[in-house]
Amino acid sequence: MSHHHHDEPHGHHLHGSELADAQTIRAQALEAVLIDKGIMTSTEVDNYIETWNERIGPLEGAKVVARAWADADFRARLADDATNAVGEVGVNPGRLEHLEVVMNEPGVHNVVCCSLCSCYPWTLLGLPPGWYKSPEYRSRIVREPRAVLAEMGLDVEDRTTIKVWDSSSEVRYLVIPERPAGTDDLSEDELVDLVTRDSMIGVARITPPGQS
Amino acid sequence: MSAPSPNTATGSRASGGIEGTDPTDVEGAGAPPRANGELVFTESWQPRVFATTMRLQEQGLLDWETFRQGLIGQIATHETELARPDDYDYWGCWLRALEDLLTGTAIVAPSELDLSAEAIAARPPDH
Repeated sequence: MSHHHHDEPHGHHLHGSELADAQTIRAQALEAVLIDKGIMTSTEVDNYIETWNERIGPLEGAKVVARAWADADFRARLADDATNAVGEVGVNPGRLEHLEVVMNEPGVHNVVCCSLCSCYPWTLLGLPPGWYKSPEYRSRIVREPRAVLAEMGLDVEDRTTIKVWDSSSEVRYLVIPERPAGTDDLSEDELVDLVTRDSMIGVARITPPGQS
Repeated sequence: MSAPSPNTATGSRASGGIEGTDPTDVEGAGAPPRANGELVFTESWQPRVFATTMRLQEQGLLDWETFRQGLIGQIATHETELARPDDYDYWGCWLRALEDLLTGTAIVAPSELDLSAEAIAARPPDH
């Protein structure tokens, strides 16, 4: 394992760019000073970004999931070579490094983490949520996934196997959640609307339509 | 998708007291890069600086029009210095405009920013 991990989404990071590093430091310095002065909190910034993320990031991943549900051939191509297959729904694969999809099915639940830092398929899901980057999630989801998922509101039956996928700068994972019951009549666009960010990380199920 | 407006997450527009200060309204020289109508970020610090700016505006610590004029000035300077169009760095301009406004209004001292940056640069890489 190389030691290129750092607390950045790697997908579009300007590796080796001193400009980008200097800007990152200046931006972090500004935020730290404003927090020290009590002008704002890190959580307020997180909340603002999350609101934007709901509009920016997860939509790309949701399009991949909805197509995988609606089109068995696409699902097969996705399993075979996700990095290229996502281009079929308009996601630019050039901004991803190697992408793998992991499919939930009866008896198997997948969940993604990055135990070393915060690697994340952010061209598909937006910026990672704060908890994804927390030391607690990163360490505990590997050791005791069932307990952590339960704490996050997702009870996984004992007979279901939980697979934890540890991201790296080389490989990013996207969970394809199970298609909820009662959605046979929905169009692909309508399916997109059901897919949540957390379901694609593997820490939530998708709520069937009409049960929100 | 019924996405909430950014204002619903961080307090009502009324708390900022200024109509039309959402950057989604910004057009022309100061407008952020977009794809399909969405703001485009390429580095993780960019949305944080963006969100910070919005928070300061809501709290009345940042006058949006003053900020926008500063941003337009930064972009104009930046564009004359560009070697290649691909080097265009919108959020770098945004960051400089925000730094200038905060130091110019004495909300933050330049020395505070420098000290903070030194401390961050000295952190171990996997912090």
